[in-house]
Amino acid sequence: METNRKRLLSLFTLTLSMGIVLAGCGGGNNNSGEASSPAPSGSGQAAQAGGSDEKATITYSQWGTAEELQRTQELLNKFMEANPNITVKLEGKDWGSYWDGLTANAAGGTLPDVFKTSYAYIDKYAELGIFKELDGPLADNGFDLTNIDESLLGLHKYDGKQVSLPIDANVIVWYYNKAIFSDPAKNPKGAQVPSLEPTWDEILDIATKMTLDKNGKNPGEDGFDGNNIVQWGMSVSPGSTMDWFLEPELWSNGAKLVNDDDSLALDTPEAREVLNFFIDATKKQINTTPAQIEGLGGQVNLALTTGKVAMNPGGNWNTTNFKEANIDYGTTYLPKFKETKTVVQPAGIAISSNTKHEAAAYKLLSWLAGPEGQTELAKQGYSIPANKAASAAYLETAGEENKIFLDAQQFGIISPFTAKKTDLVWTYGEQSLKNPLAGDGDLDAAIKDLQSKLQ
Amino acid sequence: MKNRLRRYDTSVFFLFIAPWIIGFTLFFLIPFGTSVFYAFTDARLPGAVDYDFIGFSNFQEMLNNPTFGKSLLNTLYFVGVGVPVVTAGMLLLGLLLNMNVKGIALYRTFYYLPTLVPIVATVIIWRLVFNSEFGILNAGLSVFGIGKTDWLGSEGLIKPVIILLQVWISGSGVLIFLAALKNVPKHLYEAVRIDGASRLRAFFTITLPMISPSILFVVIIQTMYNFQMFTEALLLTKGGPNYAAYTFVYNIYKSAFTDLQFSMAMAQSIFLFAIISLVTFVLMKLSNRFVYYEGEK
Repeated sequence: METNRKRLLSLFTLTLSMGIVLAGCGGGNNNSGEASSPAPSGSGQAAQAGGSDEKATITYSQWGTAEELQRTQELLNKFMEANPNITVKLEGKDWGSYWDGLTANAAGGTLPDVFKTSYAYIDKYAELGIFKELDGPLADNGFDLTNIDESLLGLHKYDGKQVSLPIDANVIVWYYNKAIFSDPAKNPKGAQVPSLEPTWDEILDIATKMTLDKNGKNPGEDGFDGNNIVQWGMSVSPGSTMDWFLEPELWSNGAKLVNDDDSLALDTPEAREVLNFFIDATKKQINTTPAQIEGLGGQVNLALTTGKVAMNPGGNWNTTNFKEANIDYGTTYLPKFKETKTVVQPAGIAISSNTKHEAAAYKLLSWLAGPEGQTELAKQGYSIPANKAASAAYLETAGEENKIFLDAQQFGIISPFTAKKTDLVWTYGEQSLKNPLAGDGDLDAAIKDLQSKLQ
Repeated sequence: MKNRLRRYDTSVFFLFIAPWIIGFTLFFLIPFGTSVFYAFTDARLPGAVDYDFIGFSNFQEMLNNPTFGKSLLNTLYFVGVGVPVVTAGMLLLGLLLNMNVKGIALYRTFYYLPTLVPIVATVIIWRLVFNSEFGILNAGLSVFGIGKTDWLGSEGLIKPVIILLQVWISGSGVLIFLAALKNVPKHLYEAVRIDGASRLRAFFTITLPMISPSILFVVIIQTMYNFQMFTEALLLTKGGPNYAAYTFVYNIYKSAFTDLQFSMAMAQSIFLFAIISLVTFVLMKLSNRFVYYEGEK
């Protein structure tokens, strides 16, 4: 008995020490982990696109809805037709789990060979060393970078080195549901659709007329029943869409979200004016509350698809969702306080630092970001290509109704993401501001709390 | 001969226990050892090769995290208030389902069903039920003239809603209590009835002591679970509003997956492990006074 106990004890000690030793060695063989700068791409030989007959299966990972993934699959099929030696497997996730997944992949050394990137996360993930540096292979293969705007390329650089290539430039606009406006039962006051470059006064007036209780009354009218609203004039949630809605609206009024030193910039009179405008609109029940948004599906940019909201902000990619839901939508620029502003969000693609198929990965990257892939992307008519070689194809396919997405780019604000801004937008901001910006809670306290968290 | 037999016995013992040892080593010991190791480094990712040992810096830095205190307090609420309420809820349901009424088997099935639904699905259903605008709960309450309540959007209500959710999915605990209640010898109740005790008295003097080992078990399991609460907080309101449901494990998740500071997340995990171990130890020690083991006395 005594011997058994001793053996058990020694076995336990052995496993424990093994665990600790293995932990120490853990990941010793994998390069996915720490590297303070992008991994250099060897001699560039491996990445020579021409003359490589390597038969390879690589993975391409991106975020997106089922329809978006389907369209990407079509693009990849075209690529595989042109490159029969390369098989590309598509892995898709939604926006939130995509980044968690990428982090987990980086930790486990299982990054996809090629993957989609967002300008907002370049710095953050570059610090982990997950990107292959692209300057070498791009130069070796004579990739024509002059067709891509310097400003877009700049957003996909880390430490002055290109780590990702922009492929599309998403832009935020204002949508309205034409069917609601043209239906006298849903538009008893006969409100006009918004103009191309609307002011918030105009939008507020329209939204008031389009908000109806069950008796057909508008907010502000005698007997308006706020507990039984059946249709809302607009749906915005500045507290939970700070990066793509609140920030351009702040800029529109001469304010900012963050100062140059990364501190919070919400405590200025211009910023307060913007915040109070949305608080007021929500309190008057012209705008949806967070609980109403949750009940309408949870995403303000898709509020139109419920048929119960007349107007909402959204990205050019949302046209897919509206078409799926059979919504006859119209588009204007984002409403303005003083000047029209919007956000341009250039997504890109990168190669992982530990890919075993560098040549194939480079081929895919240069195809997707180059003239061929970008033209195919443009022909689909949903994404705005970053490569100017494809602009003509986009205009041809997308038609007049989508020209606004190209035109809106001139109003794009230039506001790069820093680690603190990321924290503000995706971690602390929504917690503190979501309710106060809907008129529920103390705005001063929320701003103070945010300031302290960002210090 | 005797020695050889004993050696044979020992090898058989190790052979049979090997799958457990291997699983324990692979899925607990190594990850745990890795976490302890990296908690003392500045590694951004687990598996990193380029890191420095920084001693207890992560543990000191952890205290400066702006959401550390709030998340710890929230978690302590879920343990201090949540565990007693959920355990009482389970016991109450167990008692109800132990009653001898027609169709009791059907009731038992119904009460256990929510436990079979994956927690993610349950939480999403709850989001719909508790939605202040379109939720069925407020619609039901409005029949009685009760106005709209923002269950998920109010700082004061979100924690009670989560605790209620835990009672809803507490079928396993109810089952444990039901089994324990079935094991209480009938003659004890007959004895106290002859002595003229009320049903309430019988509950406190017979039922509670007899099922006390099960209560201890359920309390410990629920305590561990509530210390590690994450899914409910994340999916119901993303820890909001204003951090009201921001739990300690949510903070760990944020350190790892949002801040990309895995070593910091590991330090926090070890801190949590230490708290859970301590609380469990205290509970076990205290249990000597409250728990009655029939076989031992």
